[in-house]
Amino acid sequence: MAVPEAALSARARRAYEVGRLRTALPAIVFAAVPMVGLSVALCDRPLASAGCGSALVAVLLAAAWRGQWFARGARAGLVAGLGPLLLPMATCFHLCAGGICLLVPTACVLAGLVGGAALGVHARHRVPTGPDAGGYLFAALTVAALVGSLGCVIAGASGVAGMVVGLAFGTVPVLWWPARAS
Amino acid sequence: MDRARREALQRDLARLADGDRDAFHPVFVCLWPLLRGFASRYLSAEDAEDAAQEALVKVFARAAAFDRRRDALSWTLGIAAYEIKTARRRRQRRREDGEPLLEIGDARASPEALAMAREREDAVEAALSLLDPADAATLRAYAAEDPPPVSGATFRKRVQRALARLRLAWRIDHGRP
Repeated sequence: MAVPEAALSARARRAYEVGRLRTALPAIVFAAVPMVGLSVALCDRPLASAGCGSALVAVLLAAAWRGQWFARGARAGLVAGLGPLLLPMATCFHLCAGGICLLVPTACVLAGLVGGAALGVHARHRVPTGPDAGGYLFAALTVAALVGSLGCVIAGASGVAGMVVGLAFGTVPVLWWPARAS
Repeated sequence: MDRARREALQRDLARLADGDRDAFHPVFVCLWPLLRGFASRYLSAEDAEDAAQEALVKVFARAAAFDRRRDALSWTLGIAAYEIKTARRRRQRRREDGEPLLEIGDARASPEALAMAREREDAVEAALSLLDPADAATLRAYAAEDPPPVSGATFRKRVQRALARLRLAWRIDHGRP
């Protein structure tokens, strides 16, 4: 049946937007869900893990829907967050003598620094300067922080905060110094 | 579709796949007449309209997953061909179930569809007028399913040759048949 072109265009537009949301599914199913499962199993804080996981899924959906540099940033953030996710989990198997153990929070900060520096280097080489770079870094840092939080909840709020500070301190100098020099 | 439009479609569909919404309108404006024309070659006017709409919506639903290394036009026509196949199968099933079919010139057909059918008939007549009168008479007799004036095999051969000449004449006037 013939339909007005405007109605057909609106239907096509809706289909396109839903299709964009669907592009987030592989990242959610094959990356976010296993990460949350690992966090719930190893970190002993299921509520915090579920909260971070939900936020991660929401950000991945939003970035995939928005597309362009936001989607690329989210993919880079998933990779950059692997260090802060896995390193604190690995350190939780160590034996700690004495009262206070700072190994896990330290691992969070260090992994955050390394992940942030890696993101900064990647952004410097692959992302053109301008508003695109802002969107890329925003999505990448948000996703990396949420992925890292899934591992750093093992050290509590201080671990998460340390990891976020580490990410920021790792990224900013890598981006800022070369820009200043040029 | 000429080379420049094909390249523009490739570029715009790649932008749309990346998430650039500004490319939506150019892709829509390029694809809608193309898919409608493509479907109308294989289906009746009403079925062609439905199949073209479905194909267009599916193209946009999958646009985000379009791989820019692939040829945009082939990718789009592949989706449309599948929709056409589905529409033909549906029509075949309806025929087998004994449902009455709508004719192309049906009274309920839209004025637009009637105008398109008339335009197509005029184009066929114009192409027939370019043929040798004997070829044109053979094709008219074949279309009207009149009893052949010669033996079956000879008539089939004449129809085949006349169709080949008609295709050539059509291609010269209208691009690909």
